[in-house]
Amino acid sequence: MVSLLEAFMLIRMGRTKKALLHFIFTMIFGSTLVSSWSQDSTHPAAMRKMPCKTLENAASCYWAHGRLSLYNGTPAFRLWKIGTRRLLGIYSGPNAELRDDLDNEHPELPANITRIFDPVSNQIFADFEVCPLEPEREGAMQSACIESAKNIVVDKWPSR
Amino acid sequence: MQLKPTSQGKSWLDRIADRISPQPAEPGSPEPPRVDQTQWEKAVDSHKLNTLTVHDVGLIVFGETQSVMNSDHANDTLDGTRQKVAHAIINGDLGHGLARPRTARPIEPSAKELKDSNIRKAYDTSLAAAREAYLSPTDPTQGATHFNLRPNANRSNFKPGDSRGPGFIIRTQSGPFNNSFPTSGKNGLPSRGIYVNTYGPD
Repeated sequence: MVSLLEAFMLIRMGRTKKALLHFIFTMIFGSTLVSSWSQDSTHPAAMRKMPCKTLENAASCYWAHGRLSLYNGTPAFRLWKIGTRRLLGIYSGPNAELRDDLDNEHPELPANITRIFDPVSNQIFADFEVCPLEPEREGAMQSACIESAKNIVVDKWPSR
Repeated sequence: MQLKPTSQGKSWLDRIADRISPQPAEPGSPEPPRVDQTQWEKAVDSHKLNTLTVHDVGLIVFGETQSVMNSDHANDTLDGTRQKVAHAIINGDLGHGLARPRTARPIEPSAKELKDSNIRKAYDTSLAAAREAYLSPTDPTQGATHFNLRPNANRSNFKPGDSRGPGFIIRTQSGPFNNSFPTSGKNGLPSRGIYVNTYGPD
Protein backbone atom coordinates (compact mmCIF):
# COMPACT_ATOMS: atom_id res chain seq x y z
CA MET A 1 0.00 0.00 0.00
CA VAL A 2 2.81 2.34 0.93
CA SER A 3 4.73 1.51 -2.23
CA LEU A 4 1.62 2.25 -4.36
CA LEU A 5 1.30 5.62 -2.72
CA GLU A 6 4.99 6.38 -3.18
CA ALA A 7 4.77 5.37 -6.86
CA PHE A 8 1.74 7.59 -7.35
CA MET A 9 3.60 10.54 -5.81
CA LEU A 10 6.58 9.98 -8.08
CA ILE A 11 4.29 9.89 -11.18
CA ARG A 12 2.72 13.17 -10.10
CA MET A 13 6.22 14.61 -9.81
CA GLY A 14 6.82 13.59 -13.42
CA ARG A 15 9.20 10.77 -12.61
CA THR A 16 7.23 7.91 -14.15
CA LYS A 17 10.20 5.66 -14.96
CA LYS A 18 11.56 5.89 -11.43
CA ALA A 19 8.05 5.27 -10.07
CA LEU A 20 7.69 2.06 -12.09
CA LEU A 21 11.09 0.76 -10.99
CA HIS A 22 10.34 1.58 -7.35
CA PHE A 23 6.95 -0.19 -7.52
CA ILE A 24 8.34 -3.31 -9.20
CA PHE A 25 11.28 -3.56 -6.77
CA THR A 26 9.02 -3.23 -3.75
CA MET A 27 6.51 -5.76 -5.03
CA ILE A 28 9.18 -8.38 -5.68
CA PHE A 29 11.45 -8.03 -2.67
CA GLY A 30 8.98 -6.59 -0.18
CA SER A 31 6.39 -9.28 -0.75
CA THR A 32 9.00 -12.04 -0.62
CA LEU A 33 10.14 -10.83 2.79
CA VAL A 34 6.60 -10.55 4.14
CA SER A 35 5.52 -13.95 2.82
CA SER A 36 8.55 -15.76 4.17
CA TRP A 37 7.92 -14.21 7.60
CA SER A 38 4.20 -15.01 7.68
CA GLN A 39 4.52 -18.56 6.27
CA ASP A 40 6.83 -19.49 9.13
CA SER A 41 4.09 -19.92 11.70
CA THR A 42 6.51 -21.49 14.16
CA HIS A 43 8.65 -18.36 14.25
CA PRO A 44 8.86 -17.25 17.87
CA ALA A 45 8.12 -13.65 16.97
CA ALA A 46 4.65 -14.68 15.81
CA MET A 47 3.67 -15.48 19.40
CA ARG A 48 5.42 -12.68 21.25
CA LYS A 49 3.74 -9.72 22.90
CA MET A 50 6.93 -7.69 22.71
CA PRO A 51 9.33 -8.20 19.81
CA CYS A 52 12.95 -9.04 20.51
CA LYS A 53 14.45 -9.41 17.05
CA THR A 54 13.47 -6.41 14.95
CA LEU A 55 14.53 -5.06 11.59
CA GLU A 56 16.84 -2.64 13.40
CA ASN A 57 18.75 -5.17 15.50
CA ALA A 58 18.38 -8.37 13.44
CA ALA A 59 21.92 -8.13 12.09
CA SER A 60 23.42 -8.13 15.58
CA CYS A 61 21.57 -11.23 16.82
CA TYR A 62 23.61 -14.40 17.26
CA TRP A 63 23.47 -17.89 18.75
CA ALA A 64 25.25 -18.69 22.00
CA HIS A 65 25.32 -21.68 24.29
CA GLY A 66 24.39 -20.46 27.72
CA ARG A 67 22.72 -20.85 31.07
CA LEU A 68 19.64 -18.80 31.93
CA SER A 69 19.05 -18.27 35.66
CA LEU A 70 17.30 -16.06 38.15
CA TYR A 71 19.74 -13.83 40.04
CA ASN A 72 19.59 -11.68 43.12
CA GLY A 73 20.05 -8.08 42.00
CA THR A 74 19.02 -6.22 38.86
CA PRO A 75 18.43 -7.35 36.16
CA ALA A 76 16.88 -10.44 37.69
CA PHE A 77 17.38 -12.79 34.72
CA ARG A 78 20.88 -13.27 33.41
CA LEU A 79 22.36 -15.47 30.77
CA TRP A 80 25.87 -16.72 31.23
CA LYS A 81 27.58 -17.38 27.92
CA ILE A 82 29.24 -20.64 28.87
CA GLY A 83 32.98 -20.62 28.48
CA THR A 84 33.22 -16.86 28.76
CA ARG A 85 33.25 -14.34 31.57
CA ARG A 86 30.30 -12.47 30.10
CA LEU A 87 26.80 -12.18 31.55
CA LEU A 88 23.84 -10.85 29.60
CA GLY A 89 21.05 -9.07 31.47
CA ILE A 90 17.79 -10.25 29.96
CA TYR A 91 14.89 -7.98 29.00
CA SER A 92 11.87 -8.54 26.74
CA GLY A 93 13.18 -6.47 23.88
CA PRO A 94 14.28 -3.01 22.76
CA ASN A 95 13.02 -0.26 25.10
CA ALA A 96 11.12 -2.82 27.16
CA GLU A 97 11.69 -0.89 30.39
CA LEU A 98 10.00 2.14 28.92
CA ARG A 99 6.78 0.14 28.62
CA ASP A 100 7.17 -1.75 31.89
CA ASP A 101 9.68 -0.41 34.40
CA LEU A 102 9.94 -3.82 36.08
CA ASP A 103 10.40 -5.71 32.81
CA ASN A 104 13.68 -7.16 34.06
CA GLU A 105 11.77 -9.12 36.72
CA HIS A 106 9.57 -10.90 34.18
CA PRO A 107 11.07 -10.60 30.71
CA GLU A 108 9.25 -12.20 27.83
CA LEU A 109 11.01 -15.39 26.82
CA PRO A 110 10.47 -17.80 23.93
CA ALA A 111 7.42 -20.01 24.50
CA ASN A 112 9.46 -23.21 24.62
CA ILE A 113 11.47 -21.73 27.51
CA THR A 114 8.52 -20.26 29.39
CA ARG A 115 6.77 -23.65 29.42
CA ILE A 116 9.51 -25.33 31.44
CA PHE A 117 11.40 -22.54 33.18
CA ASP A 118 10.54 -22.14 36.87
CA PRO A 119 13.11 -19.54 37.91
CA VAL A 120 12.89 -20.30 41.62
CA SER A 121 13.49 -24.00 41.24
CA ASN A 122 15.42 -24.56 38.02
CA GLN A 123 17.70 -23.05 35.42
CA ILE A 124 17.98 -23.57 31.68
CA PHE A 125 20.91 -24.67 29.58
CA ALA A 126 20.33 -24.20 25.83
CA ASP A 127 21.48 -22.69 22.59
CA PHE A 128 19.98 -19.22 22.71
CA GLU A 129 19.45 -16.77 19.89
CA VAL A 130 20.16 -13.49 21.63
CA CYS A 131 19.89 -9.93 20.38
CA PRO A 132 22.06 -7.35 22.18
CA LEU A 133 20.21 -4.21 23.20
CA GLU A 134 23.30 -2.10 23.79
CA PRO A 135 27.00 -2.20 22.91
CA GLU A 136 29.25 -4.46 24.97
CA ARG A 137 31.30 -2.70 27.65
CA GLU A 138 34.18 -4.16 29.60
CA GLY A 139 33.36 -4.90 33.21
CA ALA A 140 29.63 -4.32 32.75
CA MET A 141 26.70 -6.58 32.03
CA GLN A 142 25.28 -6.16 28.56
CA SER A 143 21.51 -6.06 28.17
CA ALA A 144 19.96 -8.40 25.63
CA CYS A 145 16.76 -10.24 24.77
CA ILE A 146 16.20 -13.87 23.82
CA GLU A 147 14.53 -14.44 20.48
CA SER A 148 14.55 -18.23 20.43
CA ALA A 149 16.15 -21.30 21.95
CA LYS A 150 16.89 -24.90 21.02
CA ASN A 151 18.62 -27.95 22.54
CA ILE A 152 17.08 -27.09 25.88
CA VAL A 153 18.10 -28.83 29.09
CA VAL A 154 16.40 -28.10 32.42
CA ASP A 155 18.66 -28.18 35.44
CA LYS A 156 16.73 -28.49 38.68
CA TRP A 157 18.09 -26.73 41.73
CA PRO A 158 18.89 -28.87 44.73
CA SER A 159 15.75 -28.88 46.90
CA ARG A 160 15.20 -25.82 49.02
CA MET B 1 69.28 34.24 110.01
CA GLN B 2 70.09 30.86 108.54
CA LEU B 3 67.32 28.31 107.84
CA LYS B 4 68.14 24.99 109.28
CA PRO B 5 67.77 22.13 106.76
CA THR B 6 65.62 19.21 107.85
CA SER B 7 66.62 15.59 107.86
CA GLN B 8 65.31 15.26 104.27
CA GLY B 9 67.62 18.01 103.11
CA LYS B 10 64.85 20.60 102.62
CA SER B 11 64.23 23.60 104.74
CA TRP B 12 60.75 24.16 106.23
CA LEU B 13 60.37 27.09 103.82
CA ASP B 14 60.96 24.83 100.82
CA ARG B 15 58.39 22.36 102.11
CA ILE B 16 55.76 25.10 102.53
CA ALA B 17 56.51 26.28 98.97
CA ASP B 18 56.06 22.72 97.73
CA ARG B 19 52.63 22.49 99.37
CA ILE B 20 51.45 25.78 97.90
CA SER B 21 52.75 25.33 94.36
CA PRO B 22 50.49 23.31 91.97
CA GLN B 23 51.22 19.64 91.92
CA PRO B 24 51.47 17.59 88.74
CA ALA B 25 48.30 15.62 87.95
CA GLU B 26 48.05 11.95 88.64
CA PRO B 27 49.31 9.86 85.77
CA GLY B 28 46.42 8.73 83.58
CA SER B 29 45.51 5.10 83.13
CA PRO B 30 47.71 3.46 80.55
CA GLU B 31 46.28 3.07 77.01
CA PRO B 32 45.12 -0.40 76.15
CA PRO B 33 47.39 -2.20 73.75
CA ARG B 34 46.64 -1.24 70.17
CA VAL B 35 44.46 -3.62 68.16
CA ASP B 36 45.59 -4.27 64.64
CA GLN B 37 42.34 -3.39 62.86
CA THR B 38 43.50 -4.99 59.65
CA GLN B 39 44.13 -8.30 61.39
CA TRP B 40 40.74 -8.17 63.06
CA GLU B 41 39.04 -7.50 59.74
CA LYS B 42 40.96 -10.31 58.08
CA ALA B 43 39.96 -12.68 60.86
CA VAL B 44 36.26 -11.88 60.44
CA ASP B 45 36.49 -11.92 56.64
CA SER B 46 37.81 -15.46 56.65
CA HIS B 47 34.88 -16.86 58.65
CA LYS B 48 32.97 -19.41 56.62
CA LEU B 49 29.18 -19.15 56.66
CA ASN B 50 28.14 -22.20 54.66
CA THR B 51 29.51 -22.08 51.15
CA LEU B 52 30.61 -18.43 51.31
CA THR B 53 33.07 -16.57 53.50
CA VAL B 54 32.24 -13.17 54.98
CA HIS B 55 34.70 -11.72 52.47
CA ASP B 56 32.78 -13.38 49.61
CA VAL B 57 29.59 -11.77 50.89
CA GLY B 58 31.31 -8.38 50.90
CA LEU B 59 32.49 -8.85 47.31
CA ILE B 60 28.98 -9.81 46.19
CA VAL B 61 27.56 -6.74 47.94
CA PHE B 62 30.21 -4.66 46.18
CA GLY B 63 29.40 -6.15 42.78
CA GLU B 64 25.68 -5.58 43.09
CA THR B 65 25.67 -2.15 44.76
CA GLN B 66 28.81 -0.56 43.33
CA SER B 67 26.76 1.88 41.27
CA VAL B 68 24.50 2.96 44.14
CA MET B 69 25.42 6.42 45.44
CA ASN B 70 24.29 8.30 48.53
CA SER B 71 21.42 10.72 48.32
CA ASP B 72 20.18 13.34 50.78
CA HIS B 73 16.63 12.12 50.30
CA ALA B 74 17.27 8.48 51.21
CA ASN B 75 15.49 6.94 54.19
CA ASP B 76 18.60 4.94 55.09
CA THR B 77 22.35 5.29 54.88
CA LEU B 78 24.15 3.54 52.09
CA ASP B 79 26.15 1.60 54.67
CA GLY B 80 22.95 0.43 56.33
CA THR B 81 21.48 -0.52 52.97
CA ARG B 82 24.55 -2.57 52.08
CA GLN B 83 24.23 -4.36 55.43
CA LYS B 84 20.66 -5.35 54.53
CA VAL B 85 21.84 -6.73 51.20
CA ALA B 86 24.56 -8.61 53.06
CA HIS B 87 21.96 -10.06 55.43
CA ALA B 88 19.94 -11.35 52.47
CA ILE B 89 23.01 -13.04 50.99
CA ILE B 90 24.01 -14.51 54.36
CA ASN B 91 20.45 -15.80 54.96
CA GLY B 92 20.44 -17.42 51.52
CA ASP B 93 23.77 -19.12 52.12
CA LEU B 94 22.96 -20.27 55.64
CA GLY B 95 19.54 -21.55 54.64
CA HIS B 96 20.22 -23.10 51.27
CA GLY B 97 23.95 -23.54 50.77
CA LEU B 98 24.72 -24.33 47.15
CA ALA B 99 21.05 -23.89 46.29
CA ARG B 100 21.05 -20.32 47.59
CA PRO B 101 19.54 -17.66 45.32
CA ARG B 102 22.15 -17.04 42.66
CA THR B 103 24.14 -13.84 42.89
CA ALA B 104 26.97 -12.23 41.01
CA ARG B 105 30.20 -14.11 41.66
CA PRO B 106 32.48 -12.72 44.35
CA ILE B 107 35.06 -11.03 42.16
CA GLU B 108 37.95 -9.06 43.60
CA PRO B 109 38.35 -5.73 41.77
CA SER B 110 41.71 -5.06 40.18
CA ALA B 111 44.30 -2.80 41.80
CA LYS B 112 43.77 -0.38 38.93
CA GLU B 113 40.04 -0.20 39.61
CA LEU B 114 40.64 0.39 43.31
CA LYS B 115 42.68 3.49 42.55
CA ASP B 116 39.38 5.18 41.75
CA SER B 117 38.31 6.76 45.05
CA ASN B 118 34.60 6.06 44.47
CA ILE B 119 35.23 2.39 43.72
CA ARG B 120 37.57 2.11 46.70
CA LYS B 121 34.96 3.60 49.00
CA ALA B 122 32.24 1.28 47.67
CA TYR B 123 34.61 -1.68 48.10
CA ASP B 124 35.59 -0.81 51.68
CA THR B 125 32.04 -0.11 52.80
CA SER B 126 30.76 -3.30 51.16
CA LEU B 127 33.29 -5.44 53.00
CA ALA B 128 32.52 -3.57 56.23
CA ALA B 129 28.79 -4.12 55.68
CA ALA B 130 29.32 -7.86 55.34
CA ARG B 131 31.31 -7.94 58.59
CA GLU B 132 28.70 -5.88 60.45
CA ALA B 133 25.86 -8.04 59.14
CA TYR B 134 27.70 -11.22 60.10
CA LEU B 135 28.43 -9.99 63.64
CA SER B 136 25.06 -8.34 64.18
CA PRO B 137 22.79 -10.17 66.62
CA THR B 138 19.68 -8.94 64.80
CA ASP B 139 18.53 -9.15 61.20
CA PRO B 140 16.61 -6.07 60.03
CA THR B 141 15.45 -7.97 56.93
CA GLN B 142 13.65 -10.62 58.99
CA GLY B 143 15.13 -13.49 57.05
CA ALA B 144 15.15 -11.98 53.55
CA THR B 145 16.86 -14.11 50.93
CA HIS B 146 16.37 -11.98 47.82
CA PHE B 147 17.17 -8.40 46.89
CA ASN B 148 16.98 -6.15 43.87
CA LEU B 149 17.18 -2.56 42.71
CA ARG B 150 14.00 -0.92 41.43
CA PRO B 151 13.68 2.33 39.49
CA ASN B 152 10.96 3.62 41.82
CA ALA B 153 9.33 3.06 45.22
CA ASN B 154 7.21 0.17 43.94
CA ARG B 155 6.66 -2.18 46.90
CA SER B 156 4.93 -4.99 45.06
CA ASN B 157 5.99 -8.56 45.76
CA PHE B 158 8.96 -9.86 43.81
CA LYS B 159 7.49 -12.44 41.42
CA PRO B 160 10.31 -13.51 39.16
CA GLY B 161 9.01 -14.52 35.77
CA ASP B 162 5.45 -13.80 36.94
CA SER B 163 5.65 -17.04 38.86
CA ARG B 164 2.50 -18.45 40.39
CA GLY B 165 1.79 -17.74 44.05
CA PRO B 166 2.52 -14.63 46.07
CA GLY B 167 6.20 -14.53 45.22
CA PHE B 168 8.56 -12.94 47.72
CA ILE B 169 7.26 -10.32 50.12
CA ILE B 170 9.13 -7.04 50.53
CA ARG B 171 11.01 -6.84 53.82
CA THR B 172 12.95 -3.59 53.57
CA GLN B 173 13.07 -0.72 51.13
CA SER B 174 15.95 1.77 51.18
CA GLY B 175 16.16 4.83 49.00
CA PRO B 176 15.85 6.87 46.93
CA PHE B 177 19.52 6.68 45.97
CA ASN B 178 21.47 7.94 43.00
CA ASN B 179 22.89 5.53 40.45
CA SER B 180 26.27 6.09 38.87
CA PHE B 181 25.63 3.50 36.16
CA PRO B 182 22.32 4.61 34.65
CA THR B 183 21.02 2.61 31.75
CA SER B 184 17.63 4.21 31.45
CA GLY B 185 16.37 5.00 27.98
CA LYS B 186 17.30 1.57 26.75
CA ASN B 187 16.90 -0.86 29.59
CA GLY B 188 17.70 -0.60 33.22
CA LEU B 189 17.88 1.92 36.01
CA PRO B 190 17.78 5.73 35.94
CA SER B 191 20.46 7.95 37.46
CA ARG B 192 18.22 9.07 40.33
CA GLY B 193 15.48 7.69 42.50
CA ILE B 194 16.45 4.04 42.68
CA TYR B 195 15.50 1.83 45.63
CA VAL B 196 17.27 -1.18 47.11
CA ASN B 197 14.75 -3.76 48.31
CA THR B 198 15.04 -7.04 50.18
CA TYR B 199 12.45 -9.80 49.97
CA GLY B 200 11.66 -12.91 51.89
CA PRO B 201 9.48 -15.94 51.51
CA ASP B 202 5.92 -15.80 52.77
